[in-house]
Amino acid sequence: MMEKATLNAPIVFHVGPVPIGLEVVTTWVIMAVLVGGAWYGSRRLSATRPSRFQVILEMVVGFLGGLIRDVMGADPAVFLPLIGTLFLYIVTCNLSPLIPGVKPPTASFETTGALGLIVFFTVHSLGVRKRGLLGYLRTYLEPTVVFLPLNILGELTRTFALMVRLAGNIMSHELTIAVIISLVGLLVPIPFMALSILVGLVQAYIFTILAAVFIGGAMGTVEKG
Amino acid sequence: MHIDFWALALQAVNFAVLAWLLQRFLYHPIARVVAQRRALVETDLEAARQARDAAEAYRQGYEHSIAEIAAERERVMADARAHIESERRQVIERAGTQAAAAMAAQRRQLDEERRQAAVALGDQAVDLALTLSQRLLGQVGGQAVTAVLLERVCEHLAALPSERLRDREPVLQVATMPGLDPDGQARWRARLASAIGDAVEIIFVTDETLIAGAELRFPSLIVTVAWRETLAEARANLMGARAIGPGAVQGQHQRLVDAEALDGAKP
Repeated sequence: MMEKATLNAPIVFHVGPVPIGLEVVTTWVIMAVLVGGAWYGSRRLSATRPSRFQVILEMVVGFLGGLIRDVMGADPAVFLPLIGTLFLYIVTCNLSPLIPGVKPPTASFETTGALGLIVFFTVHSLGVRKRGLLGYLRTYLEPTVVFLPLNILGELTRTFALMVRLAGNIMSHELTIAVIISLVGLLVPIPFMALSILVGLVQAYIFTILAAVFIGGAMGTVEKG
Repeated sequence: MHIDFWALALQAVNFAVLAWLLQRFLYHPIARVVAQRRALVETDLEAARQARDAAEAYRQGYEHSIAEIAAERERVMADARAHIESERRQVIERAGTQAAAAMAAQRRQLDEERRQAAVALGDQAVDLALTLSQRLLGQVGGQAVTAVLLERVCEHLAALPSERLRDREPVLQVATMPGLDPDGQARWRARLASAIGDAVEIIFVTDETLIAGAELRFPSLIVTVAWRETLAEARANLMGARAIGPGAVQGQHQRLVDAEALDGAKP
């Protein structure tokens, strides 16, 4: 009997009524790796004699802080947990297929949908907090009332696009490599796997930048697109 | 395809937990150590700034000291130059004074030497002239000249008070040049006896120092008419010495010189 092909990740186990899919398990592993690495690197931080790993961590955090400062014009310390974690998590997920047998969580719509929803609610909550409820809602009437439906539709579609773009790119790249492997063997897919590094970095950067732009637009620090 | 909302919710929760964990184990520690480093850097910068300010103050102090030293050096140099200039002036003045004194002394010495040379030269000229005159007069002199000069002596003798000769002069030496022959001696003995008396002993001698002439030599009186006195007077006149006039008395002996007689006897 042939297994039915599906875009959904396979269920690994159930916790009561809750099915635990492969992308969730992979996410846990990635979380463990990221948190473990962070804990390892931050055990003995030194302001005067940093280790190489500390230097790498400082470079990564500095890069993310600079990105937040440049794109959002806001204090990096406030948005680093969200924006920085988005980038690190998505990058790690996107590069996880380099380990044979690992399916990237970002190839599933549940993962990117969760990320998109987090960005969506963050955007609106910060917008309301920054401008007030009426002030924020008034932004949907700009430039005129006629644009209200379009603004609402734009809010929904850009979040949907954010979710679909990431999942679609990663999923399609995975499928492409799988097809090539099934057709031409082991050596030919290597360039495509190398290309997947670039794709994974670019997609993570795009998602992070767009999230920063959306949040900045809601706060008024970035012109709303 | 369908959406697994359980998975979606779990992934959202996973992300939130991951964000919290990374905030706790990554972002916050890194931010803290970066802040510490920034504080250290600021401290070092502040220390460096203070060190730079101190160095700047030290440099300014150093430059001030250099300027003061330069000013002091200029002042000392100016003082030294003024002192040297004063010393130079004094040395020059001293040297000028000494040179003037030396020049005056040299000039005086030179004048003295010139005068002495002139005197010596005059002496030599006089000596030469006297020698020539003595030689010439010696050649032209003779009995006739001696007689004439002796006659002049007698005229002077006659002008003297007779008592002075008779009372005090028992011996008379008659010196002539050239000498008188016996006839001449006899004739002049008689001539003199008539003038000074018979008691006086008359002795005739020849005296070449007279050059030409005659001299009556009493013990306390000498009456001379001779070229020697004439040449001596000429020599004294030439040398600027005291003149010996006709009839002058010299020393303890009275020497009467008849210059006109001598002039008349010149050849």
